[in-house]
Amino acid sequence: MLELRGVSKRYHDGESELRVLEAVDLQLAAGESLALLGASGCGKSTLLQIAAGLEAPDTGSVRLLGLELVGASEPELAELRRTRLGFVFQAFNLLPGMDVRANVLFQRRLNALPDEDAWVRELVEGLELEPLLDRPVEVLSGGQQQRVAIARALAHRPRVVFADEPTGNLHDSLSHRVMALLVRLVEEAGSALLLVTHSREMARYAQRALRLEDGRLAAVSPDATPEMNDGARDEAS
Amino acid sequence: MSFLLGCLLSHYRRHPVQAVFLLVGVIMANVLLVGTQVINAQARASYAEGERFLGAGPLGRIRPADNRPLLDERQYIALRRAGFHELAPMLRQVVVLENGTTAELVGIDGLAMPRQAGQGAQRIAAEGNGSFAEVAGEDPAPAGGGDYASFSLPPYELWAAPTRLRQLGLSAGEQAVTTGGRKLPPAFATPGQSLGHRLLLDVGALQELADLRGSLSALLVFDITPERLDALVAALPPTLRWVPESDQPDPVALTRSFHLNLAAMGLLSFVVGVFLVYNALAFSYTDRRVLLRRLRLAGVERRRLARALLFELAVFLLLGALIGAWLGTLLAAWLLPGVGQTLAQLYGVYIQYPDGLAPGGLWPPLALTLVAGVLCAAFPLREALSAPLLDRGASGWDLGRTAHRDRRMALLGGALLVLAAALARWAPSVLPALAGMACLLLGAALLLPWVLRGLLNALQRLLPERHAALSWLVADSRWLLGPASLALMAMTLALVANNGLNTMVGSFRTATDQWLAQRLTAELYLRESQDTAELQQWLDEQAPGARVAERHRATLQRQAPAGGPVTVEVVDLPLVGDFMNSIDLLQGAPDAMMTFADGRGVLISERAMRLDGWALGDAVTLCERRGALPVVGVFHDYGNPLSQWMVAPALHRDCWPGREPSGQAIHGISDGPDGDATAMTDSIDWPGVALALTEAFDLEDGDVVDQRELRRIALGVFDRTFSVTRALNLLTLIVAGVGIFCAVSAIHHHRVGQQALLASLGLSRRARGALLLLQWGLLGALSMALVWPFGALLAGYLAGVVTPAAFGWSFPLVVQAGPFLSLAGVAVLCLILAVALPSFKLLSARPGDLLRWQSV
Amino acid sequence: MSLSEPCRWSPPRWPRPGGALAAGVLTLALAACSDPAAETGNDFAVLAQANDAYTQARPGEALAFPRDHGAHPDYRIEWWYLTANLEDDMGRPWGLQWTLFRTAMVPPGDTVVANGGVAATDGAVNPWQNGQVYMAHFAVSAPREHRAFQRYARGGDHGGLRQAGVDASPFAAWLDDWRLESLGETWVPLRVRAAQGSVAVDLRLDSDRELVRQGEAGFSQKHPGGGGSWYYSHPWLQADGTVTFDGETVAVRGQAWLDREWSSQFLQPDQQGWDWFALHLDNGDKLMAFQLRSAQEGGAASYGHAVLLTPDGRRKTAAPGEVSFKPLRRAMVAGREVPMAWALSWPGAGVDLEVEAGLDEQWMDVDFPYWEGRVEVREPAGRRVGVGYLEMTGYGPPGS
Repeated sequence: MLELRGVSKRYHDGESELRVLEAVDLQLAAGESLALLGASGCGKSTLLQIAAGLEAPDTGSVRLLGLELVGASEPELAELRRTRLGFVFQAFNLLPGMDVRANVLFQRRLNALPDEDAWVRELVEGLELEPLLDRPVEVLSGGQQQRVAIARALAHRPRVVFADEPTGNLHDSLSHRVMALLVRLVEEAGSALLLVTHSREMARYAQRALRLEDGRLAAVSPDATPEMNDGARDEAS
Repeated sequence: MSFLLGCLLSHYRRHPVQAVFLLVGVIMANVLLVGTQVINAQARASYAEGERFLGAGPLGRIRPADNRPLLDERQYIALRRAGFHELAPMLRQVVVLENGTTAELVGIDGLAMPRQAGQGAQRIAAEGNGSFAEVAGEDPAPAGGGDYASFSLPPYELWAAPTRLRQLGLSAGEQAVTTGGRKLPPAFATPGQSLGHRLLLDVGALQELADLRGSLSALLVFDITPERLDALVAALPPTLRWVPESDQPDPVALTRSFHLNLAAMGLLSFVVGVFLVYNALAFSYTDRRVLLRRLRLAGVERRRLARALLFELAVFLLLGALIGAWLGTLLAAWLLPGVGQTLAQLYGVYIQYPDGLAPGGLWPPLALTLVAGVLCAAFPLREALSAPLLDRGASGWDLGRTAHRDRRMALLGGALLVLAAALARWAPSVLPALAGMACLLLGAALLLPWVLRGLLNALQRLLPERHAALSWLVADSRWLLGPASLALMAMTLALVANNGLNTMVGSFRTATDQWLAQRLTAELYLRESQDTAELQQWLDEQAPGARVAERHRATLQRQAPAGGPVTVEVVDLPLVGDFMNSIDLLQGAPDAMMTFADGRGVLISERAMRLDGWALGDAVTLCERRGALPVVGVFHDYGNPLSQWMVAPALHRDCWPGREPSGQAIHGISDGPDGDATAMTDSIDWPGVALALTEAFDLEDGDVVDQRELRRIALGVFDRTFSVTRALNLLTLIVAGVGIFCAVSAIHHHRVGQQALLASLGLSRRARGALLLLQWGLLGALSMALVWPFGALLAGYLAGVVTPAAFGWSFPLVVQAGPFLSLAGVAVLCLILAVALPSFKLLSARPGDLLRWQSV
Repeated sequence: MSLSEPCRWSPPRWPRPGGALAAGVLTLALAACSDPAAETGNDFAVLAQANDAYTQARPGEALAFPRDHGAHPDYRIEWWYLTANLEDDMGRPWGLQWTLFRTAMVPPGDTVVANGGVAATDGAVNPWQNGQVYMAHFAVSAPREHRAFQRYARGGDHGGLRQAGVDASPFAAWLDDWRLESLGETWVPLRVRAAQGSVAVDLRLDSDRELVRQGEAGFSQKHPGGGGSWYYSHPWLQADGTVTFDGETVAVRGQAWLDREWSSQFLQPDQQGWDWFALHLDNGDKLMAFQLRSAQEGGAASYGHAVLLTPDGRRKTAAPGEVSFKPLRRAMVAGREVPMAWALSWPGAGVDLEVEAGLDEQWMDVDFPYWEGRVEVREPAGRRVGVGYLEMTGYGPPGS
């Protein structure tokens, strides 16, 4: 379903060269949820973007839902994202000037799916968006905005959901609530989830977790060892 | 302070484009302002110097005493023989060239021009060569032949200031051709510019060219002592009179409104530029909020920050104003010949061109720039500095806040419109009219964001909600109104001005064309009059039904009720149906045409009424013999730089008996009692008659002009007259275009996150590009909702209030769909072009880049 | 002459080599760009140009009067040159120069040339373009001050009126109100009038002697090659009348010298200027002498000439090289160094004279400036033996 092989990525910053990813291999099965852990700036977001076709690797191959992303055309990639992928980012998830309903239904409408069906109702209900539907998104609180973002990302039942620090801007208790909702609904949709987070706590919501360090992936059990620290969160805010 | 400035300026290191845009705004505000100021200053300097001939200013002129246009050159020779060596002959003719420009030809005798004692001689002795022009204290002669012989003997030379020569599109040695098909002598540029708009040639050459052998316009009087002048005046025959130079019509009074108009265009452009400055400052301060907050957290007081920012602003303003002044001066040099052309054609005033333009009067534009700059900065500066210290994530372009701002601006705009209406209603003279125009323009601009928001809201309701991309487009456009509204307002300002001016000029042209069609009743016009009886006899044989009508013309100097001496042209009107019908009275006493035909009243042109102040019922004096006569009607006389009085032929004859006709017109009878005559004249082959006439009377090509040709020439002159207006108009539009470009570039910097999201949602680059262009196109198109009505309103203002007050011509407004639509096309195209480049940069980034960029 | 060629027109000077001399010259004559003389910068180049379209002066023909008192438009240049040494009742010296120059800008018949644009309406020539241009110089040397004026005019006939012209009979030469004319049917007596500013002259000129045909029956050879001019003089005129200077009118009387010359070619291209003397000696003799200074030889005389006329009608002409001209004193006048006293020596005729300016400042500050004024003649011992007029041209400012 998603398979990265030997993916490398370097950034050049003037003279110095930053090796972000070094021959990374990664697999994600259908319906599986995987958390990518790592300190801020370690390249986990880059890995997510490469896996989703938003960024191209220097070397290696990325197969997603049967399509080799390396070398695929921009319209092909755009269509893949539109029809079969969903994204939740830390911020800038919503389209200003539009109400909650238009935001939630945006990608469905792009895909010419009907506005109403059981799944949409379930999402709205599950995320408690019913009372917010007619509000402009600018007036929502941070938690509300992320709930809308989750609804928008899942509304067209994507095969894979990419979430990049979806709770990065929220305080602790709200983070747990939003993350729980995200994972539950992804499961209900039958989608796979690639979650990027710096927080071990959040990573626990995923079935599996990998840690990115010095450009390489290492396995981490969800009940990770205590030496992992949570300090990175503060750096990221 | 320097540390603080360094911190603040580091922002521009990261966003150099914002610095450039701020500078561009200041420059744009100054260019046209300085340009028009310099042009006006140059013209004023030229007026102050008075008319000069080969560098010498006459003290006065000897002119025909009876208001004839010409005097017999033998009178000149006789006066010279009597010892009046201070005289020099001058013949002046205005011709229309093939390209539709009018050209004033001044014929002189180079030998008679005054020599500046010793000066020229010493120069020649020193250099061992020279020419008579040099001797006359003038610039050295042109580089062609340049000597007296080439100038005064066939094929002659035509001397022009280099600028004028370029304007005429002539290279050295080339000959311009008049509409009558006459070739002017080979043209050469003088090294200096002081000939100005005039063209200089030998008096004999001009006599031959104009078929005026033996005639002069005036004798110029140079360097004469008061005793000698008394002797001269005593020696003048009764047919000549002395006119001191101070009695010449005052060009300053004549052209005041024109220069005011020019200054107004400069100010308009300044205002457009100020919008751009405000826009750039708003971005610059908004983007530095985080930095400012950090500095304040670090303990820097608000006052110090404000001082540093104001200092930074002053540097930008000064630098921009200087560059703007420099460019404005270049612009002035480029536009000056066109202004000279317009002045020549509208007022018969001929300005000089300077050898080099210096940005004179820099202080007013600079002061204006500083004041406007500080006013622009005040609001965004306060916003940026008063933001709460711990406010996170405020976008600065919050929808609610901008909607509130738009409402306040709309209120202000509405108030300005009310003021404009009041000024138009109660103060119909040039200055308040222009102030009203400014209110109208600003009001329109201020209304724009509010109107656009309303339109977008309506559009959103109308659009099928299901079309996600389109409804995003409309929704996002509303958001855009926050950061982009100022640039759009600047553009609207320029477009309204453009639309208004174009509509005004178009309406004026239509009015002129219709007026010409009505006034040119005769089929053929003879430039050189023939014996009327002989001509009629020939016509009776060759073209039965054709009639000759004589036209007479005289010029008078009169004291205008509005003040100052003015030159009035007196013409007669044949009392034949067609001619009588060709006069449409704007105002008329009861039975005006009857009184006129009986020679008991005078018709005056609109210019004589509006500019010189004569009114219906006033008494005017044509000549002593007939005493005072009442003004019984006012008629349109477009494009005439002179005020005109029209009288019945008998009256003209009474005042100036034995006067040769100035021309003849040949027309068909259509008012005869028998209907056959009309049928007969319809069958006349007029081009054939013209040809046969030329042969039979041994005329030159161009001596017989047909109606259509005359109309074409007149419209050509019209178009040339407004060429500077059009150029300035275009420049204002360009200023606005640059403004939009700058604004879009700045806005796009805020749009990266938006684009990243759209990309991740699966909108392809092409789709996003299309949406961007569509969005700006939509904003441009919607702006038309204001541009069109306000453009028409402005045109009405120009046509109904400003033009009559400035030029003495009024005309009905003609609003045509074609130009309006094409303006919309131009505006949308302009916007899309301005948006395309920054958009291309935005779109060509990969979505990953966009995401990363956004997190920076 | 090509119009596109960026050549500067070099104004010619118009000398009176031969006799009365002249100076000035119309600014107006034609100078061809291709003329090598014009390129060398010689101001008198025009005088050296031969133009076949003009009539050339040739020996063997005879002067005829009154015809030859009038203008000869088929010759390129011509002048009527009058100088007078006068004295008022108080014995103060006065001087008058009254000169009329004529130049043809085009040969007669060429006046209306074909042109690309402005066509003459019919065969008749517009009087402004008749191609004859006149220049007049008028100068009065008051006892302590010299004042000079110039005027220009075209020679066209405007329906019977001419601003400038010369009629043969009855003789009249004029430009504006500056006039030299016969008083009656005969050529003499003459009257000369001119006025400008606060200066005016009105003199009657009479003589019981005949005019003098210079050279060979009036043909005056100017070059060994044979080129020359028609030239006659009247050095015997007695003048009396009034001079007005700054509002003061004084009665004056004295001697006048009239020179008439016309030609189509005069100077060699390498000649730089000339010094010309017209002297009334107290013994009744009239001495005319001139040298043409060569440009090549550092201003040394390239051609000297002298004629001595005695009251009994005899004439003595100097042989080539026989007369010497030596500057004795120089002065700065109008920024140029100009000789103010000369030693004139012609041993063959017993002439050994010193000639000195009556007033240094007699500079003709006209378009083509030169020095001309009254002079006194002395023996080397210092006794005054006559008066006269001296013209000096070609003294440029330093460095030119």
